[in-house]
Amino acid sequence: MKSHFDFSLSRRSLLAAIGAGSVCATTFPAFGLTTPTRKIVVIGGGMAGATVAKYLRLWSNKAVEVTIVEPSTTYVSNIMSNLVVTGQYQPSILNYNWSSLTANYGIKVVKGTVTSVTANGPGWNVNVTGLASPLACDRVVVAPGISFDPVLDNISQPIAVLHAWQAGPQTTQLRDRLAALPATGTFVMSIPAAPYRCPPGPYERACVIADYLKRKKPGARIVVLDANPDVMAEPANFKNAFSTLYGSNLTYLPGRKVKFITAGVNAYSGKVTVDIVGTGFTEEYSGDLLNIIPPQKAGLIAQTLGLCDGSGFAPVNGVSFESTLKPGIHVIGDASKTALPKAGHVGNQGAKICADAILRIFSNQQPYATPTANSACFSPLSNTVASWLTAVYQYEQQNDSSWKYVSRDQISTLTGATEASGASTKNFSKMSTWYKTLMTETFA
Amino acid sequence: MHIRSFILGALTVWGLLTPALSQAQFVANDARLLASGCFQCHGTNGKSGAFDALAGDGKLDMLNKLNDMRKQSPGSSIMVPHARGYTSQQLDMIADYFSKQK
Repeated sequence: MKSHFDFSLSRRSLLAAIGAGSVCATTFPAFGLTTPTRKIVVIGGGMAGATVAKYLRLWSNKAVEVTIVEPSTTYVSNIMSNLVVTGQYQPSILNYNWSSLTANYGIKVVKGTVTSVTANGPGWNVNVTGLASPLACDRVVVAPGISFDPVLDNISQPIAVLHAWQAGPQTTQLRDRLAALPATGTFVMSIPAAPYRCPPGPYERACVIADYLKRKKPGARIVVLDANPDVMAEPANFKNAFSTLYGSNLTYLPGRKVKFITAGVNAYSGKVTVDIVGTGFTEEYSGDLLNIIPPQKAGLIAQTLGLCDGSGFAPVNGVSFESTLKPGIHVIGDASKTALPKAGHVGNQGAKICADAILRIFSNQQPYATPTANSACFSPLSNTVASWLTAVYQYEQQNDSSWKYVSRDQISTLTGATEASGASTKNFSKMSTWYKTLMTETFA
Repeated sequence: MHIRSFILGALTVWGLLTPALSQAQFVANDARLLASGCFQCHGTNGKSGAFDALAGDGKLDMLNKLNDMRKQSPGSSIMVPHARGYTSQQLDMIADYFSKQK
């Protein structure tokens, strides 16, 4: 298919066309400059950052230069990390790196932390710790994931919590403390008000920990304090698991928002004081192990760069994930504010929409006006059975003329995500296939 | 001063000259963008996905399977909500894209 415009005009004829060609062409080699290339700097190499880098290279036939700036040497997957907490899987199954993206697509990876991004003509300079000069680029893609709000103690001081909601050292810390939980101990976990990373994730964790306790510590129990009014994802499957599989050792309490924590004698033990949402009353829950998942915002660099609104997340145009606050900078993944959930599978798809939009912009075209995205995941409910959750999102214009991603069944016209009609061992097995394929698609 | 101005001016002109991507580099492809939503489970371009690899499958065969899924209960299989979540026209574009991948 040939477009109406031929953008393949060579640099030489373009230079000649404006008459300054001979000056530039002869002058610039003296400065040691090479042919100008479109350059992108991606801040953060997680699920969304790795994907946007891959597709910017793949879909431009490697014409666009892509550099990922990433402080870590290993990406530790949040997906599947709950089954590392319970000891079912080894931590190594969570570890990925960027070497295949470099080898297969020529993506550059710079280890460091971005301190600032400043305007450089029509493009940007990205300043990175440890680099003598900034990385110059045409557009910046910001993919820092999430940051956590402070949790307060009983005198309103920030207190360290074990959330294990950013996989890494805390994942194995929680695993080890769970294993050391007294035989008749109480595990207390809290779920923040939405939006937070991975809508089904906290309920999945509650289930697999209840399953672990049932098998390994039958005298112990888990209390789940949810700031939300109800289970936020797969309500039928999770509530069924809570009442049938874990009726004897799991207590689920919606509408309980963490107010403060009174530390106990042992690390991460203590008392959680919660507001009973909408009543003005408080309650206290004591735990031998507290797993507090704090409320979340976009990763710090997105806040530092002024990309976030009052919600703490970055508003973007859904067709391109370009910031509505700072044009020329795109925000993808969990840090962005759209109607899409915050999760790895859909973060991968949002990144592809962003990559395609940037390449169209670099070709003097408009981003595709009505993109689709999808979210899909398998959720373990025990060490043998899993459920699933999925949705296809169409970018649709609303009655108030705004545009939004809406999940809609085209046959029934019903909106909202779909969950499995039940949990099964077959789904548990498919979960491993899904995980491996998603991670290969993202990191290789 | 004059030399600096000249260099800045030249750099500005050079910046404006960064050419649009050529067609050898990038051709917008609506079907590819749409089908890329399948890559997470079916592999990049429908290749080497651990679920069904779709690259090179017959278009009509894929559409028949998808249309069968559209008649099933949404919670019965994870592919059913996908088949029901796209329009018929979108499914046609997706099947056409994968059928042409080698």
